[in-house]
Amino acid sequence: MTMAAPDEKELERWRDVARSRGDSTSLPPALFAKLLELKSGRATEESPSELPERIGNFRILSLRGRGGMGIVYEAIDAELNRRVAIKVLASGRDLDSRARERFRREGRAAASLQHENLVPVYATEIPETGPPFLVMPFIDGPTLANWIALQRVVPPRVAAQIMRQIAGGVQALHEAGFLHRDIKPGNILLAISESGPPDLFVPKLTDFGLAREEEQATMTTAGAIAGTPSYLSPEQIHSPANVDARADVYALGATLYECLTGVPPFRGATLDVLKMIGDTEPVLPRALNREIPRDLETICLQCLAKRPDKRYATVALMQADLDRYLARQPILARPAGMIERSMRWVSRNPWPTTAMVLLLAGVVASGLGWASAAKQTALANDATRNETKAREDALAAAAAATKSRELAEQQAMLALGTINNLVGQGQAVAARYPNTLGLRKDLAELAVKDLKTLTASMDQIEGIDLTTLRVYTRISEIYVLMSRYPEARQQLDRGLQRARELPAELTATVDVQEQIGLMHQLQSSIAMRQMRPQDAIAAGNEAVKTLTEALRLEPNSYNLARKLAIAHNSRGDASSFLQQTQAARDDHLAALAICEKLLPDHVQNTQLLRDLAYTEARLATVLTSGFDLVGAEAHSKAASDYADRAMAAAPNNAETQRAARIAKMDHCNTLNVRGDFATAEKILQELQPELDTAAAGERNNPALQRDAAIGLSIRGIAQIGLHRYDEAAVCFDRSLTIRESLGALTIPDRIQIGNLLINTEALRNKYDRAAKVCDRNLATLDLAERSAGPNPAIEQQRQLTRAEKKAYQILPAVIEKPELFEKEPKEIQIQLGQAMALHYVRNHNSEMGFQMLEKVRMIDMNSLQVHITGLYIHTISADLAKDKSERERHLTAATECANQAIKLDSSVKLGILQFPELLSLVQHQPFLKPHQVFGTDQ
Amino acid sequence: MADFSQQTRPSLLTRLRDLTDQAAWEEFLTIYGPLVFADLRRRGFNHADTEDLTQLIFTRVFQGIKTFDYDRNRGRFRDWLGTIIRNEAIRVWRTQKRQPTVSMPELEVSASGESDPEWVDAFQARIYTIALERCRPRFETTTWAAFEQVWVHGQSASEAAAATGLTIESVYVSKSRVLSALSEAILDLTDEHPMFSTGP
Repeated sequence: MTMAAPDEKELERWRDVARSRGDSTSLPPALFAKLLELKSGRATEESPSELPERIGNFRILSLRGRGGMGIVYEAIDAELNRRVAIKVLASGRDLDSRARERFRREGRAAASLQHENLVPVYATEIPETGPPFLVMPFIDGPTLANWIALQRVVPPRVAAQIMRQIAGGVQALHEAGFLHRDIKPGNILLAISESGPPDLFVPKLTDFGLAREEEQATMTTAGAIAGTPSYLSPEQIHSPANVDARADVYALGATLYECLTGVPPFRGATLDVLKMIGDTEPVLPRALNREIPRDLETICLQCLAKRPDKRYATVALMQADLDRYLARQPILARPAGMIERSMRWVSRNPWPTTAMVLLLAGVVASGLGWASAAKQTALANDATRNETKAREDALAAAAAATKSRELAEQQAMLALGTINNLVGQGQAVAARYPNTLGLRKDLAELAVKDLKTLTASMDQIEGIDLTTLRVYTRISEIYVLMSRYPEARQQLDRGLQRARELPAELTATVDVQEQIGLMHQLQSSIAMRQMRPQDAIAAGNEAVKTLTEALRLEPNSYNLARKLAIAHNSRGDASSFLQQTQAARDDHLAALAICEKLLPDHVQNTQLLRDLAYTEARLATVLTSGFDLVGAEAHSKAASDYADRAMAAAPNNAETQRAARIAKMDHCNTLNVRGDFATAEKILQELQPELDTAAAGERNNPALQRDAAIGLSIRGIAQIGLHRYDEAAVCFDRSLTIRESLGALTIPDRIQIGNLLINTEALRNKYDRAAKVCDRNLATLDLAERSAGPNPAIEQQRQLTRAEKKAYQILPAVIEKPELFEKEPKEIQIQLGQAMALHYVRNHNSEMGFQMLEKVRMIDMNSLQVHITGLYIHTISADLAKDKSERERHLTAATECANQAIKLDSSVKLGILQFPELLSLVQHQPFLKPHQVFGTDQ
Repeated sequence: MADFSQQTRPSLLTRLRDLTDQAAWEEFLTIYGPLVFADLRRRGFNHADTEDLTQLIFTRVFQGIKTFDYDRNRGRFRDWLGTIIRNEAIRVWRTQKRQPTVSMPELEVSASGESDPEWVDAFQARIYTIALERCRPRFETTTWAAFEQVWVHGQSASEAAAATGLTIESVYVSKSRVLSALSEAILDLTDEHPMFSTGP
């Protein structure tokens, strides 16, 4: 027989990888049971419609789990009107009359058992047809197995508390003459405590006693044991008929072992496990997790002794030792006979520090998908409180373990995943229950606390690599998700600062370049949200630079090309915001070129088609701002075409549908600027239900909400063009309300839409309402300041808005008594004068209007705003002119105002003289201020 | 002595094709289930989604093995499984879009990549650990002790010889026999000997 010589070097690598990573993942037992059934085809047959409608008098709601022992349903007891769990025994179908009788008798006995840590049995039923079943209360909570799968390990003191309580329940069972025989994490439910803190949750043991002997007989004869036999005691395997209470002691120990280490004492294929239970000592818990206190390990191993007479003789004795441990008193169990073995294991297997894992204790709430939100908060908070000590220990350990950078980072990423879930869940809760502001805040505080702990540990880690950067990025992303921009920014700055520590050869790699590029990209996105467009462009420059370099290193990477295109697009958006139309156009063109280059190899790639549609739409908008209407039309058309192609390729894809909607809205924007308001309104009217549905269907998705808001604002502009001011006011108001509900995400848009609404109200002569909208804008500015910090641009805008508000408040009085004008301070006069000028012109008193305009000009010769006001009151007058020469006169004056405006701010590339369309635009939209006409709104 | 019946037995992945071999399926799930589960968690799916996705992936795996979509002559099992996980994960990720983060195009940064060292490491770590556990009962205590001294604790052959009472030559033989068995055990689990060319 010849055997290939093993590749020793490669095996060494595998060994080192295994050693450095550890391997403490396990599968939730319920999931394992489901997976097992895949092969027999049973799982795939299961569908909700095949649920039985009723079992006995119980109306079945859902399938909660299935395993070798039976099927568990959630049901309603119609008679008592309570939620129950129904467990149908799989093996019970063919019970003979004696067995049925015993089942009934045991059921009655079990129903008499009352213990806080046992799930009671309400009733056992043996229908004439069909298998027997048990009725139990429905417990709202995860199993201990779920929790371990989520957390990897349970903090030692929490584990001890859980097992102490479960032991109490088992002792009660034993006293009543039952053995459980199947204690395992999957049979321990963590019920959310009704009494609230500080009880946190109550562990409850379920699935006890009944008909177990029959089941075990079936199991052994068929040779098939459902799931893993990890918790079976040696005597249960060798002589199942002769087991006593000490088999349950063993299983309690095995469960404690899994809590502490994240894995059951023995793992592997069923037969291997059965063999190991008989003849192999489990790996010492402390070798797997150094955080485990020695006494708790001793208690655990005492339970797991192979010979029953070496274990605790009763569950009560085990419980008493756990009590001693919890009270920090000496325990009775002794680690006898284990000395030489422990020496071997401890020295052999330096397991990764689980310090970071303990941090997860605080975010346990995220795993409890089915618990009510409020209870989750309580649970999470209490977990945090109870684990303060554990956290302190963890942090100390993390500090001590700074050398083990990769490990710490690995754990950090894991922790971040959980925190991210927590935040996401907080937002989901927020979307579903709008009145849970307090709860959201609590969840957020919790997440922030964990993030802070984590960042403190990160800063202590010596050395740096790619993963370090990823951790900083991830932390920052989570802060962004929570709209906590200053913290997000700080973490990115820190990460980028530390990136400089990287050795040059590592910095030059494509992965690092890519990561740094993404970090700058995120920086830029944060700056935009904080209303710091200049900074956004600066960070965008860095992002484009590094991603370009990454793409140069790996020219054929689709992903890198796409990320670079995204970076160009978002820098373009920042430029648009500053009305640097040229720069914006260049960026979107660059993004377009990148995407087009990818297209031949990815013709069917809907993501790329969507990107193309998006980029074309952005380009069309930018060109519209620059009044290149011909170009805008062409790109708008291209955007629609790409959106159509994406729709054809993936009609049911939500992202594609969204791209198609954006393309349509963009088209309407172009139509508005061209003055074709009727067509725009028609398209938008048709689009409205779809926008509403998309937004309502996913309240948690700010992008869809924002789409709906944008649609409404474009529609409002079309309404203005059609002189339907009341409808326009409704559109803008709704649009603004949606944006306000989105928090800090849409601050720049909000100011813009607020201004549109102010002007629309003024147009309807509703000056009091206009003043109230000014308040909404002021609130937005406060929010901007809170998230961005004090900022001269915000302060300036605030002064202006306050003056505007005052102007609208006093406008009716001043029109009654024009002499009041002179009493106001200059900044109010400027606003008031413009509003009055417009009022007069609109109400056919252009002489007074122009007098007012002159007055304002005298106060401030260099106000861009005043020139623009001049531009549009001249165009209104041209529109209202009695004869051609008057009309010409006003148009000339309007052009002069426009020229003055351009002189003051060259970024306002009005292109007035080349584009006569502008004049038609201004005729139709006499109320628009420059940043509304020329700003972009997508 | 190594258990030579191992060599004639068809590999785990081959046995999966036998639809009546429930034990092979269970063994397969015990080994690969946690690996897939952990990989999905790493990709940021929450617990509930991970459970659903794990079932979906194993359905695919089962079908793929049944229909000979997986063929050891065409490529590594590790890569085949890795691809299924990645494809399913990306597909679900895109269709669900549940996470608010991904709605902003600039944040659409997924952990997927062409070669995924994280997956390779996780795969090797798990297979190695399991294979080693399986080899152990097949050797006498002294053979195993000698192997452990040298391989796990990094001691020299002479130190190991002193500790176990074997000759230096026997220590070398012990180590090489266990490593051969380990390599075979890995072959049984993955259809492949651990060779440098099969590394990342």
